[in-house]
Amino acid sequence: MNMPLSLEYVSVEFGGRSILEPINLSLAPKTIATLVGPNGSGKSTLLSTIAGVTPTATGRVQIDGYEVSNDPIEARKRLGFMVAQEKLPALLTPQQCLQLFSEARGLSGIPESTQQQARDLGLTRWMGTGLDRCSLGTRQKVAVLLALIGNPRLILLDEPMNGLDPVCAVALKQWLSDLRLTHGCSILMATHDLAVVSTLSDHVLVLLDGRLSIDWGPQRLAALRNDRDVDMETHIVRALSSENTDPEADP
Amino acid sequence: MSPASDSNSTPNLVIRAQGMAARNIVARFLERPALAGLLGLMSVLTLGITVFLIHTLLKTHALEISDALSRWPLLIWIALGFLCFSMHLTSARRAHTAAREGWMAALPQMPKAMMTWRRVQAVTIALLQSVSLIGALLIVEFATRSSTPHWGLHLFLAAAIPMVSALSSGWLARPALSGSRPHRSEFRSGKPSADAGGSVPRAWQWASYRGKRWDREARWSLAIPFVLVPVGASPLLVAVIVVIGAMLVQWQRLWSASLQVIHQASALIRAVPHQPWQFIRQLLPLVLLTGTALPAAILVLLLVLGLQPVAALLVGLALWAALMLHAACVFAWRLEPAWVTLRSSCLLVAWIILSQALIWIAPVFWLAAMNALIRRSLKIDR
Repeated sequence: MNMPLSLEYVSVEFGGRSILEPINLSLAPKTIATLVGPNGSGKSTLLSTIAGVTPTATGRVQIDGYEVSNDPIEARKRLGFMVAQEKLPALLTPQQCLQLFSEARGLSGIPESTQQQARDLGLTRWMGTGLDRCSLGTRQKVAVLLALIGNPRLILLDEPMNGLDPVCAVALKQWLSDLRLTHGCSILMATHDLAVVSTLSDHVLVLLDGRLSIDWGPQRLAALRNDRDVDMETHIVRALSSENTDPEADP
Repeated sequence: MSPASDSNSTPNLVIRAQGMAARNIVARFLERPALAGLLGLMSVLTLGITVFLIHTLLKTHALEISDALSRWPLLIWIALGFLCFSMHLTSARRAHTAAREGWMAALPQMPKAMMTWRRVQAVTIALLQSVSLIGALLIVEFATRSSTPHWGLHLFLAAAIPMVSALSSGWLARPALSGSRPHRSEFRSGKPSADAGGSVPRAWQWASYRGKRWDREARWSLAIPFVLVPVGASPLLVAVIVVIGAMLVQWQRLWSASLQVIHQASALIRAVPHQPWQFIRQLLPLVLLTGTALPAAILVLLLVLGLQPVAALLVGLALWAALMLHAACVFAWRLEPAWVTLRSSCLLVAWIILSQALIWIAPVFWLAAMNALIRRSLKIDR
């Protein structure tokens, strides 16, 4: 079975300046992985590189066995990518955005699961309102739902909890767990929310200055969770403030 | 879970999205019938006046145009080709950027769907250009009673050149570099210059100008003065025209940057309690300075060229008044940037029409409009 995501020696450069140093990474099926790092560490760049929006300087990205640069159509059919909310079209309504993305996924209409997600996130009353008249939180919900449509094999989310009220944030976490368990989706999520990292994820990646500093898989994470002396959040904070260069190293 | 179906079987998403957006715009207009009616009337009037003016100009100068076409056909068609091409280039670049970085960039249908939409758009623009050129040629031909030599060839070129421009713009607009690479001047735009001085908003306006002063659009605009150089002009005249053209381009960049920051700054501080007047006071000086500099320069130029002082003063004043009206519109509707250009254009067209018909009403209308706009600017955020 193909890995939902595999990165081999992937690096990104802008104008001769290295933004992401070579990264090797693979994500197992039915995984929720969180990508943590300070502002400007390259989290969003890594996500857009995986989606094929930002070109790589070296290496290759594979989604479900399809290489993004050589076979972008097949790779993107298996990908749900959360677009930045400020890029959403001002003149369209959430309903229309969801309709278009459903069509892009080969669905005749907005699937029932997406409609339920919209209800759970309190989006129903805004479905017919232009996005330029919607609040930041509403646009954020639309951006998240667009990535989830059609239950793609790999879902990339860039700080999805930003701007969400606590009730919606809980609903979204439940939906993400459900997508993993019921539909076999793998999720890679950039976040600053340590509670999400410690409770929801089973794979933690720490990015520091464009370098994959920590790569804790499920086993390492389970061991850290069993540590009675230090809680998970403290482990992550220590990892974020460390200069450790070995991705597999203990915190 | 199943991967998305064949991307070829779905309708073009970009065209669907454009259609939805157009329908939404119409629906919004229909929500406000009075405004929609006024805008419709203004649009029809603007179109009518433009067509009338062009028709009159062509008829009046038909002999000169026919003569120029027979003497310098190659030069004229190259210039027209360049003009058509530059009109295509901006929309082609916008389409490429949207395909690479837009909200649908990661969908399997991209960038193919965007390129299909771009082709539809390019052909439509090219058809409009061809119709306009052929129409202009027909007017000239009828006015001069069929005196233009190689008439058929000119008609062929009028039809073909816009199409060739449309095709070549698609190739030339393709990015040579990575999609998300910030333009060098965007890095620069983040640093307010040391000479900016004053408040943060003013520094922001300068920084915004510095970021875009020699961007791709500005560099392309520099070609326009070369097109306007008359055949056989002396090197000194060419230099003067090019320098004036470059100054005009820079003025336009500064003017648009200083107005654009008004929208950006108001969106940024919208949620923070603030006094509208304080906000306007910090952004106004550069707008006033830029909006006064151009009319003053034109006034001096007209006086140097020998125009009567009263006439030159009137031209300068009219230009200043129009620029201030536009700036006041931007301040008044700073929280609705999508509609400012349309509203400002309607107001300006109404003012120009009134000035043509009843010149003594024009200052009164201007004062009333400015008063209303300033009052609205000061009421926002309260």
